[in-house]
Amino acid sequence: MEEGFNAYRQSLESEEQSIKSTQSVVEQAIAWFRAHSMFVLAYGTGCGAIEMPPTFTSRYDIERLGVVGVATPRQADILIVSGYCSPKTLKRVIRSYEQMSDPKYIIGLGSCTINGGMYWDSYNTIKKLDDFLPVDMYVNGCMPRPEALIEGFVKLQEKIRLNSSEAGYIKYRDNYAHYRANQERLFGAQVAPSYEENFAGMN
Amino acid sequence: MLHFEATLLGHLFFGLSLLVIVALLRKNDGLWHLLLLGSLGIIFYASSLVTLFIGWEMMGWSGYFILSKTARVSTLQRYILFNLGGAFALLGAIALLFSFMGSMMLCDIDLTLLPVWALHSVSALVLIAVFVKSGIIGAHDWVVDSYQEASPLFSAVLSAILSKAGIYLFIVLLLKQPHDERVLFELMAWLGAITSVVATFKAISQDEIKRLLAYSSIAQLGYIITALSLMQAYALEAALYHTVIHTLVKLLLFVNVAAIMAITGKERFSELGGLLYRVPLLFVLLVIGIIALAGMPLLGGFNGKFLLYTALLEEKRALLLATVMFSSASAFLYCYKLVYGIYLGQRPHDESPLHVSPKSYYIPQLLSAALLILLGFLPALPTPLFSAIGVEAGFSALEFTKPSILNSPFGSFNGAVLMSAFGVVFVLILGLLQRVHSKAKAAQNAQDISYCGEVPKAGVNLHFGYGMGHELGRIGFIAFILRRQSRRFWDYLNLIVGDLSILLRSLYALGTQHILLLSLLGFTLLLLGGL
Amino acid sequence: MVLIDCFLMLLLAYGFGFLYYGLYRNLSARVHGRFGPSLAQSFFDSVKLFVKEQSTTFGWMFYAGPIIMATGAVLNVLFIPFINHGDSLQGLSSSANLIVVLYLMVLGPLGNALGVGSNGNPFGVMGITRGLTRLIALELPFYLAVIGVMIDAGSADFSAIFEAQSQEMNLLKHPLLFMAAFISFLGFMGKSPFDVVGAPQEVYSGPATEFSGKFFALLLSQSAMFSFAKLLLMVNLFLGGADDLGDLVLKTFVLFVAATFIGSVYARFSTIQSVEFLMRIPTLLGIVGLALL
Ligand code: SF4
Repeated sequence: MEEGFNAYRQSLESEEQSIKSTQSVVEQAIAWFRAHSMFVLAYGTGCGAIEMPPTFTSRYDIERLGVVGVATPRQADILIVSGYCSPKTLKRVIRSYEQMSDPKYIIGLGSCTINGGMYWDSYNTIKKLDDFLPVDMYVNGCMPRPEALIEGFVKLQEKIRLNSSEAGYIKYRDNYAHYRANQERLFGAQVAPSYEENFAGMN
Repeated sequence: MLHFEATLLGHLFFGLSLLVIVALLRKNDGLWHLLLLGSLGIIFYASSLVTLFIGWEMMGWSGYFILSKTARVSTLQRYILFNLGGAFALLGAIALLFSFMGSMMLCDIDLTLLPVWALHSVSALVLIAVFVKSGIIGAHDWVVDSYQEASPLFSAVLSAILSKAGIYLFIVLLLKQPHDERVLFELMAWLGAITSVVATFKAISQDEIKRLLAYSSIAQLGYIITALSLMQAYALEAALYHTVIHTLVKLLLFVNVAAIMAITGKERFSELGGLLYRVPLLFVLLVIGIIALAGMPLLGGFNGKFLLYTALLEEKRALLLATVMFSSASAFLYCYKLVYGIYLGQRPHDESPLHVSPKSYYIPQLLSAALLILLGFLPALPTPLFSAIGVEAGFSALEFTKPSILNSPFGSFNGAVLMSAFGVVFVLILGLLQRVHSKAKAAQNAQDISYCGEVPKAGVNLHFGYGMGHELGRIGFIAFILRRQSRRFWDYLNLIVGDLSILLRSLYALGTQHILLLSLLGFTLLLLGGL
Repeated sequence: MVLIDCFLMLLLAYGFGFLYYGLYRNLSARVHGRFGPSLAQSFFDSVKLFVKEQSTTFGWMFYAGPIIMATGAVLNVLFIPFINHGDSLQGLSSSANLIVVLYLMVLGPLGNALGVGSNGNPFGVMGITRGLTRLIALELPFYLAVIGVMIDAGSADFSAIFEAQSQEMNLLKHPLLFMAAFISFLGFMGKSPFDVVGAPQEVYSGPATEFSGKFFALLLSQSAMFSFAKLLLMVNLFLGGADDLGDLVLKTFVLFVAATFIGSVYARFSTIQSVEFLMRIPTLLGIVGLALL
């Protein structure tokens, strides 16, 4: 048995190969295109958002990976939630996420999205984004450097290429009742209109 | 003693009037409409100047009676004043012509026999009558209000037919001009072009649908006037073609708007919106209308414009052409406002129940839409007729190969190829889009729009209908145009006439001896003059 | 025969359209000091959008809007000749002329405007209004230039326009007209400083706001083809058309690179600024150019 970084990497790749072998060529091609063209709706919710501009501009130039920013959720594939979310913001984040077309993914940027980060005892931010929306990729750090974000994108790219059923939007669709219950608990009467019927039409 | 003669030109114009009036005939005011039709018949088939004038007067009056049912008094006064002014100008022209020709028959008119000053004055007088009837800018004051206040169906008649009487008058009386005296027509060409620009911008800034359509009528007549002023075979074809198209388009649009008013009871863009899926057929008809109005290819509306452009190119009138094309590009804005304000966007919140529109509204619209599509497919279909009319007027015959190919000295195009290419490509792309993997998911409701993560609340105005075109007011030269109002000029004139009459009245207020003195003075002057 | 010709033209326009689009992103990235995406990135984007699992629609008019837009773009490609002589790559250009093509160019956008209006999003219509307002001013200098070209050629047919340029291309004969047309052309291509129509933050990317998935993919593909058609029109009007395929690539490329470089160094004009600018300088250039004719 080999040891070290390369061995670990190879073991991951063999796993990837085994998933891939179950897919048809067309599915693989589609997944490849999806992985190489990612339209991002960058939602600057928290202070971590300050690291996104350098990621997109000359210094780090993430457009090399096929990542571009778009303005409306209708065209976006990836939603970046960059940091802490107050309930007021979260409502808009959820609405935007629901208006995106499948397949769609969420990147949670910064520790705040994982467990509340340095806002863990705040009375006005949510602790765990995953309770309300399915997060596909966390980038931790407070705040994460652009390199970390790029790393996150690369990892997400791999995930998209695997085309697995673990993807967040499928989880959200299948467990909508769970997410909706959490949302209702947080927002009470002010919760946005439900999108359940839309999902019903999809399966 | 009425004299009549059947000419092709008369047939064309009367045919159009017949089409419009019969399509719009209703039981309650049918009589007046028939009287109007009769007076139009007198005009279009008159062979003597007297007959023409009688018809002209009758047309004015019968229009007045129909209008008087709905319009305000001030509007009526303006209508009658302007039309009387035009008629008097026509009468003056007829008197002058008679004094030189010694005959009242149209066929005896030979403008080359007139001395230059008489030629100019006859042309100027006739042009005044023409301009008033077609509402060229400056004399358009009566047009907009009358169109707005007339019953919806009568505004269709006003716009589609009555405004064309001026065009007929011009063709009959002035087309055979001696070609070296052109100053007046130069002026006319520019007046037409400027009218179209100004009226287009005015149209964009209107909130009432019928006012928008009224201004658009004025703009379209501007093109026709410009085309006529060129006095050339293809320009005449352009003018006639555009007349036909404009009649059809305005019939369609006004009846469409009338139907919308019958359904909703509203007549402002700011109160309408979002009717697309309630009355889809009306929407489709209106779209056909505006495509033709904007002069886009595929439908008949393009043909008249194409001929006008090529005629202007042939005359090398580059700046005039640029002005006309500019106004026609600006027209897209009001065309879009028309369809967006009524049918697209969101329904207003104070939604009142919709009535069912009478079926009879659909017939004229379907008819003219079918004709517009036919003319798009076979653009040269009416060319032989226009060519014959041109020959009657003394021009050379037009080039004609196939009904589907519209010829002009500056190039030709094939309507059938255009239309079928569009159809084939559209179907192919539609098929492609339906095939692809992606599923179309219907939006939940009208509030399901991407609105910066918000759910728009009831009461937020999402309809951009009457905001459209406001931006234009901030652009220097357009704001300048929008600020001008011919009403001010007429009000000023009114003031001066009032002052003058006060002066005149002061004469009567003088003492008896002064009046005696004055009349003595006048008598002496007369005597001296006689000697 | 004609069908094969048309098919070839479409294929070329599609290929070059996407290539140029990719090049545009690459070149402007270089201007910014970045590397930019791969050349085929726009193609990847459009494929990905075509295979999105969902696309939101708002009814049949919304569905038809992008299709009409794409139809307009395809027709433009078909009615503009690629090569300035012979029978190949002429498409249907013999049954139309320059004036028809100029007006066909607005047919697609009108269809799209109807689609945008039907979705009820106010931002989309704001974009459309901006576009139409800007169009008023964009067309004036362009028309002035085109009128000059047509009067010079004595016809609106493309063959006559090529004929008139056989000795010396219009760019050299009427440089002022070319400049007027070129400034308008920047606007037609949606390049800065005239790109306020689809301002992403201010009006939420304007007309494209509600288009997702396959509809947006169709819009992207048609815009690539449409841009190529516009390049082609400029080449035909002012650079004498292309003698052969190589010439075509060279000329469109030069024009394209010029437009890209100018576009990537300017900031955005507001609608009113762009109208006022276009009504002054390029219009004046056009009028002087016409006077010199
Ligand atoms: S993780 Fe740190 S940087 Fe990011 S939002 Fe939270 S506190 Fe701010």
